[in-house]
Amino acid sequence: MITDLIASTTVGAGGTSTIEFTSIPGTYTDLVILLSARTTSGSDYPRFRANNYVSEFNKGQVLLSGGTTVSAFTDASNTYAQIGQIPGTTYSANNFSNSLIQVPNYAGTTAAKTYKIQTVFKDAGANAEQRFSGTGFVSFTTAVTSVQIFSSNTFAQYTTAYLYGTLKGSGGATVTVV
Amino acid sequence: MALTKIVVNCETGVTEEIELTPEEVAEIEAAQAQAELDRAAAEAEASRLAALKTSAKAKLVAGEPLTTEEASLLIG
Repeated sequence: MITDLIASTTVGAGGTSTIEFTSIPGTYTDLVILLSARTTSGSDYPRFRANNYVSEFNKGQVLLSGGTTVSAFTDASNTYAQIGQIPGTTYSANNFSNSLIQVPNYAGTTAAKTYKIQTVFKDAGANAEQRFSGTGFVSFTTAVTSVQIFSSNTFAQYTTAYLYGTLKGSGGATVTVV
Repeated sequence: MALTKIVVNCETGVTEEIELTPEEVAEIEAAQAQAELDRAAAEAEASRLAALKTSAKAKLVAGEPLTTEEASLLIG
């Protein structure tokens, strides 16, 4: 298996509400996004989507835990996949969440795209924590060429997003993208 | 302060910071509201089920009849 860093970005001093990777090459089998995030508001719940589609994220299932209780819900909002909570001014300074977003078979053109998202943060100062695990699929079958992580608040400075391409199999030679 | 987006072109490696259009702002505000509704509903349901389970256990110990939902919660 080969994993390459395709692109990355770090939010500057002014913050931003959206991080978008465009013109993603179709040469890998999976996309993996690693997000380390903090908001300038108290806390926030950013979302993820691909190709800027607004009506295709409709089969998500989420497990959410902020302590000993686990709740589950269907992420059927149709426009995005939820990522989970990220910390902000309610929590300790310099506390960031960590998210992993994976989109397998992203370059295929016949199968619906699936995704999984895991996010966690633990705040020592406020003794708070959040664990988020979501999976789902979208109804479009076109190749994913852009991904977007967005918030109606502002991602704080030093929020980082890394986009990796993973080539499965023996150097990728044994994998067929459908 | 205007909301912006960072756009990274993976082909060229060029990164731009662009101001969001009013339509994009309206869309993400609606998404934010929905996300908070989903989370609140999930947490409310988890609290309701926890309370129901406590009630069911108390009824069981006291020998009182359970509701169908309470029984289902205890034995699946």
